[in-house]
Amino acid sequence: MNITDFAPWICWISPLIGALLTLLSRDNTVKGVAASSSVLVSWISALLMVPMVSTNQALNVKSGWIYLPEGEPTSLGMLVDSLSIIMVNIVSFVSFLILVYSTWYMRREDGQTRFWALMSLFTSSMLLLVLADNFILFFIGWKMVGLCSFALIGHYYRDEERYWIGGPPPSPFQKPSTCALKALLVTSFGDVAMLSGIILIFVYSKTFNFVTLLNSSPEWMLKMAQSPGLILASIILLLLGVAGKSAQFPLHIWLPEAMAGPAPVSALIHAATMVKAGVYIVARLFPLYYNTYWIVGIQEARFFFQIVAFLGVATAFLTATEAVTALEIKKILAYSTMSQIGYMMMGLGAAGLSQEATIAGYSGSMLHLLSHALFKAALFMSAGAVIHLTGSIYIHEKSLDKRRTRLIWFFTWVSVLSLIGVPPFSGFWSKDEVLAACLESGQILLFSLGLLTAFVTCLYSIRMMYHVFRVDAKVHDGGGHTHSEEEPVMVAPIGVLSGLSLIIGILGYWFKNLFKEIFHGFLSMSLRLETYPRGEWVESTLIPLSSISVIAIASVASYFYYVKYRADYVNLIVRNPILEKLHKVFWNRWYIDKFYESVFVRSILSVRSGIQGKLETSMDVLLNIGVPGIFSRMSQILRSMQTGLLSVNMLYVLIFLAVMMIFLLVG
Amino acid sequence: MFTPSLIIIFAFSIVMPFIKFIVSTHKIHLACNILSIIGFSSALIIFSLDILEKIRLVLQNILPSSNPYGIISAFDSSEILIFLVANSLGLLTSIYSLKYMERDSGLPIYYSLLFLNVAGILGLASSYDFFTLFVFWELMCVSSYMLVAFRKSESESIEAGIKYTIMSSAGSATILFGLTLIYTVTGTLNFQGVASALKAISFNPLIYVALVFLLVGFGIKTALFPLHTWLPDAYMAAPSSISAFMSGIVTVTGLYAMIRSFSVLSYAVDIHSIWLISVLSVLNMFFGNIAALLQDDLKRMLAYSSIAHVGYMLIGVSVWTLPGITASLLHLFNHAFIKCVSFFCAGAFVYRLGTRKLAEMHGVGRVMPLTTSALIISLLSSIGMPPLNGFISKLYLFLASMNSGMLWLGLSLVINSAISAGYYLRIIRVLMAPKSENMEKMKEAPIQIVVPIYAATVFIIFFGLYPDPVFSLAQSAASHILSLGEG
Amino acid sequence: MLPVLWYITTAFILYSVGIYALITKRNLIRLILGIEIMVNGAHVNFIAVSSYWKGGFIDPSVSSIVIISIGLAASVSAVLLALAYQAYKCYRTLDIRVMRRLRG
Repeated sequence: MNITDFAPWICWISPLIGALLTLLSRDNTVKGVAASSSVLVSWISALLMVPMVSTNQALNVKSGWIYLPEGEPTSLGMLVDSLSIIMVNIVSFVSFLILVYSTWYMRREDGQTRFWALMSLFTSSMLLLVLADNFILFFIGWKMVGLCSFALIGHYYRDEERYWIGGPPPSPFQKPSTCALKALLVTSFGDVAMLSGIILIFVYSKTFNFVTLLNSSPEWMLKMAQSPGLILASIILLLLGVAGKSAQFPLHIWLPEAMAGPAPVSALIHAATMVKAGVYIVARLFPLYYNTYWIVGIQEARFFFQIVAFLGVATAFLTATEAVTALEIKKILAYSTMSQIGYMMMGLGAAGLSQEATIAGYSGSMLHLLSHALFKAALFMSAGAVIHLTGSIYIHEKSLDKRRTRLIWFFTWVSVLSLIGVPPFSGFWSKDEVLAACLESGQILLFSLGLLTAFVTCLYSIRMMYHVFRVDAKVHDGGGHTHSEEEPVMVAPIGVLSGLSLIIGILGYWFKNLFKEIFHGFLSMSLRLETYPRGEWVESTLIPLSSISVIAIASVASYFYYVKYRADYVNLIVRNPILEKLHKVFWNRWYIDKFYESVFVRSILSVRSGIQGKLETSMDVLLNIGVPGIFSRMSQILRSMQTGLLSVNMLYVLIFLAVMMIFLLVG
Repeated sequence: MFTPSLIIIFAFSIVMPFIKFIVSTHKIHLACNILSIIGFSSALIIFSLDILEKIRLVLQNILPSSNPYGIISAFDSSEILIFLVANSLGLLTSIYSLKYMERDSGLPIYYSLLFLNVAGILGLASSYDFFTLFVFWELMCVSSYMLVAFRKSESESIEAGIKYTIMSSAGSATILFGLTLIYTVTGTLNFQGVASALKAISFNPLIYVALVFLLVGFGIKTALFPLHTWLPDAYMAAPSSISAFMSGIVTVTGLYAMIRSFSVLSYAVDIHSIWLISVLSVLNMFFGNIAALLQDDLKRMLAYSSIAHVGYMLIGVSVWTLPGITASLLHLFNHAFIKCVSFFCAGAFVYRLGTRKLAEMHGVGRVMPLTTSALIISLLSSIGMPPLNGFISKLYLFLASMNSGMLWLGLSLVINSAISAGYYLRIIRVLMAPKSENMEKMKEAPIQIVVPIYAATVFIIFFGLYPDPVFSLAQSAASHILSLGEG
Repeated sequence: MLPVLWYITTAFILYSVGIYALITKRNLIRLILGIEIMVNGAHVNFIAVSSYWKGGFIDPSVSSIVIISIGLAASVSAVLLALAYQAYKCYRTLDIRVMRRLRG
């Protein structure tokens, strides 16, 4: 038995045990230590799997689990290949750091048992999701992370006023419990769609196992292609689930409100891990549809990449513009998260649209996933520190004195530069890789919108940084003391994460090629193509140049707009009608939320009274009085058979004997 | 033919009554209990050692094959499943009895009877001859009569005991009569001999008569619909430990014996074509669940639910295919642990509150959280909630009915699971209600009661998550039963 | 020698008498007797049929079966009589129709 046979199991079971331990222990510190050390164990076992990453082999550790009447038995199995190893390492490492940070952040909060148990459970289910070798286990993990996310967004379920988000005053506030419900409803809509997609695929493929699914894909995809539209339907259903979980375009509306939870929750669930689950499953299904389109030649499979690319680019652009006007620091980061995930989707979409761009797109979006996990988790944690220290969720009300929070200031800048895509930070390499893939696949629209998004990203990042850290008089009243307000437990995780994005950035060229090698191996292994066209890995200087120049323009613009005109830029908006209109559209999030609300909420509410009067009341009467009445009557009748008289009982025996005899001998 | 574990069980049952000549009166309960725990665990250990090699084979065979119903011929005997259930339930019951039966007298006899009962079940499960089967059957019956009426000063338990004894011994007489008819047709009672004789002869109506007699005789013990009348009384009035044991294994042993003897008779009669069995199965389900709806007595409600579960198991008998019998045996195994936990918990409430009435249990969950959560797990498992073992066996029963083209059986299983949720959830609601005044001074059940409850609850959860070992066990048992009398 | 069918019929009649007693009689002792009669019907059938199979001789294994079975029936009767004694102590009567506290 190899150690790698056990590592994947230990990896996801350890946080599950951690969750149980947190429930059992009474001391809050013990809970934190139990949760973080259990995740540390998973990180170590994830590291043990790293040597497997370049072997180009998928290790499928199975044991029988459930038998269905037709098709392959669904096993309780772990799939260890390059993709899942990289994901597992990211997830467990970032989770560990965030849990360490939480011991500082949550030290004076209520409901610690809930928090720690759910965080550990979340980590466990996320790792299960990533390691699962079949759709069933994957979907269990997928649903569990959704539920944990729901519970953690609603951590402040008592809805005290200080935990409300939204505003400031002309705009409405939202309560944490409402936000949690919104997240649950929107993602569950996607989940149901995804489950139907999974079942649709099962009907044709007779298996849930990812490996078998891919290996047998020529047969069942051909069968499926015979009824046109089915493949498209399965793609749309699966991608609806992806859009829901990863907060992509039509279902992206829940993520800004998900910021009602504590900052570690936002960092872990809504930046570093859970929202990447959608990217992960797209990457997991990528070879399947790639194979179908490029090798089997079924045209319908192309929709997968087109839709993914479209969703990605739409989300990237829309949400980046929304971030420009947002006032809450965590909401800015949430918009930015969606926008960056849009980049990953864009890369995957472009990778499938052209064979030249496959490796670049796939490895680029995975690299972007890695670097985004690092810098966005760091950003959320420093946002948590900012909110904790200033006591305000808005960037324009109070800001930190950077003399007293030098380390946080420094690390946040590192992460923000990585987010903007400034060389030599990790974001630069990964974003360029994605853009290069878009260009190589010949999708000029994708490329130009991606570049435009990079511009907007720079705008909102500098705006946020300018507001949050200032040296002038408008700093918060920290009680007069000038000593540093940083604590090692809080700063260390931020430092480690942003330091890593700097290191990866410095080693960027080498790292980029490492990822390319890994995923070249992975794709040729999973596509069973030994001589996969390596493609010209265009090392053109065009893309870095264009993105750097875009960033340079954007930073100059934002410098003048936000830093130079300090207080005046509000006037600037008011004076300029075009800017004012744009501001309004961005502030209202392109009216997508309003649209959903009027279509799905208001319209349903308007027919509610009619339905209730006509239909529901009578149904209620039927179901609440009629059915129980029938059953209780039946119950009484049947119970009256139980006379308690032995003679009657024996009479039943005789009657039964006679009836059986007659039926058997006659029939 | 006697396996070592059976001999151990017999030896302990004979030794047990003599304890009172050795041990002083006030220590006698503890001594008996420890002795019985030793007895059951040593039987279990010796049995496990016996089948260790087979278990290893099973574990090797667990890896999924392409055909889920492929015959895994690791075992050549069908009794292992029953052995394991009976022995472990016996062990759990004796641990449970340490505290639960502390106020009773005559405990050496109690444990001796428990051993005799297990011995009967074990012997029955490994019999290859109708008369051996009958002798062990009577052994099981007689000991269970006395166990039901064990509290002889309570009129309820005497009344239930009398009804149970008279009905059940009439059933035994019916079985014996059926056996004479089989003997009349074939001239032998050996399974193999009967089978080969049945293959040789042409149609004989007497064999159908014999089948009906066996159905009625075993059916009384199994609580088939109109023959069930003893069951609610007996389970209600018996000590809870005995209710758990009987509901878990004694009742379903009737079903097991029925399957075993039908399998032999199936050489002359096409069991699959007897649609009456499927009608009985549906009747049992509906009767059990609907009659339980309005009960106010927790143990009586659980007793009716046992009747419904027998109906579920009959689905597998009525389809009479390998998947069907497998599913039935799987449900037999799972139901044993589910009902064991339910009755143990009901007993724990009786022990603390002194009442079986649901109306007087409002808010018990707040003062006895451990017991209540185990009860809730077992009830959810009986409904068929997914990660628990009840779901697995119900799923297989449904699939078996679907595979044999008797989907209506599967559908009535689903409908009945919904009806049963009506009263199971009612129990849960009562337990979780705000606590009433009489709960103030209550506390959690003693550890000796909680431990066996949780030991069985672990089985419920574990075999829900990982049903493979039991599944392959049930499958090999089913394939063995279906080939009884061959070669 | 009478044909074997007669014996089988007799056995059936004995069995029916037993069932009839169980259904109609009130006294617990009579019920016990009813069960004994049912069991004995089966025994008669066994012995008669075994002589039919072995041509005038009684199959020795059947003899042993019947003797064991008589023992079993006796043990059941013993249990029942003990129960009847306890029932009399509880209810002061042996009438089975009085014992109907458990119902519904």
